[in-house]
Amino acid sequence: MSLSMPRSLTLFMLVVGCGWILWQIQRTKSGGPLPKIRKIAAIEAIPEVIGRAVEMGRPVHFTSGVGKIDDEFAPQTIAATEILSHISKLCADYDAEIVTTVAPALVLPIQEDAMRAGYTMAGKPENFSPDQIRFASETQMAYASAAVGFITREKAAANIMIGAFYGETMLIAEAGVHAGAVQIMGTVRMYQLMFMAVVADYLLIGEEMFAAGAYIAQDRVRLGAVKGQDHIKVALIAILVVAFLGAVAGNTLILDLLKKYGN
Amino acid sequence: MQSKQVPVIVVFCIATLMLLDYFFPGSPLKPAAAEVLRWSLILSAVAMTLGAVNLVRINAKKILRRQHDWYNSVLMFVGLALFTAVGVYGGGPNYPLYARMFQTILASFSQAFWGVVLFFIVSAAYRGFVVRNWQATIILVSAIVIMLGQVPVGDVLIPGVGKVAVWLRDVPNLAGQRGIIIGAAVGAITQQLRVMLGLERAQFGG
Repeated sequence: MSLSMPRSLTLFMLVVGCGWILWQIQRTKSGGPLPKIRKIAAIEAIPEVIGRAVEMGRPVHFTSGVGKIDDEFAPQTIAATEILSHISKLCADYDAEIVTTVAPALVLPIQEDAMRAGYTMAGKPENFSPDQIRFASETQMAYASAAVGFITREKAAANIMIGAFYGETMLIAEAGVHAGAVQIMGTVRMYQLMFMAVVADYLLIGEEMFAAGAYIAQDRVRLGAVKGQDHIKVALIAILVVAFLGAVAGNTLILDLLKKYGN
Repeated sequence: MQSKQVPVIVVFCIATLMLLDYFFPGSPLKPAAAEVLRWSLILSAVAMTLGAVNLVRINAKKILRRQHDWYNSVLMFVGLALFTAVGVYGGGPNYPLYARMFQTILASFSQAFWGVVLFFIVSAAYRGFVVRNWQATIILVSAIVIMLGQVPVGDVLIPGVGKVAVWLRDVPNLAGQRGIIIGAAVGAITQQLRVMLGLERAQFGG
């Protein structure tokens, strides 16, 4: 059994980081001060966007992209599923039609459950139909064409794309633009974030996707986790600043350590 | 034990196993981790069946109710039946006829769709570069500098624009990107920790 140096450093940082987050969750759960989360415009806009869809008599379209639940994009897919549950609840409240297009088959039962949970939370489980969630294909462009087809044919009033997206982003987003849909988007993938920035009306950038769950639920566990992750971020920024100042002053010890074991 | 606790325990055990396998590559847990990965493949196959049932149910309803554009659903069934029949008869995707069908039908349509992306990027860029406020002005000026820096004539028209373009790309752009990536990575770790400990239940239906 072996543990190489880069991995041991990663393990150490992971254990310390996770320990700190758990401590913050515990503190917040046991009545500690709650962090104040700034307004997230994309989440604030959801009720208004759904209301607009009801007034127009058109559906809301949601998709979480090609990210699966068993790959490196799982955190994004889970964050998107959490937001989908919230959107489904609001759609049930407002009697708006919501349709979800799914690419990875493994995500289908999970997001179907999330939608059903949303309708149940709104007290209208009977209004949910499994036909509201549509598996298209695991092939990227076949999935994109299904999403584009739905948005174009049904003239979706809102197009919500939150999750891990690849090259299909612009295809689906432009269909939304041509259908006159209000677009709420979010991803962590840098290559798609720049495209989303020019086509989205509201955008969740990077970590905002993960904070959205806490922002929506406002429960102590999630808020405590956000507090803990913010502390870690500050610590990481501090390490970078110290490394930078050290390098300027001619001491590259921290910088060298980061370069050697940072991957 | 409540039914919702079972998936949480399963997730915790499997996540711990995979983490230990990653951090201790030579450990005796290797075969168990490989076995779990094989299970995930089986689960994916089962999920694909669920997907196929969903696809068939929704499109069959569309045809039976003669809903808008129902003939597209007929085409879907023809494609599904054709690919399934040839794939099963030939014994898999390497069967020459199946491979040919894939290349000439699916791959061609996919490539055509990719081609459209270029035009969509141009139209989106046009909308994005409209000067509405100071932020849009920064985007517009940066985009012009980057574009001029990418073409040989750029340095002829404005000497030094290539260097400015490289600086824009490698310094402010990269710094912003790394800031987003660091924040997102910490957010993802926190979320996965919540999933592992059962504090996050979105993946179990809320």
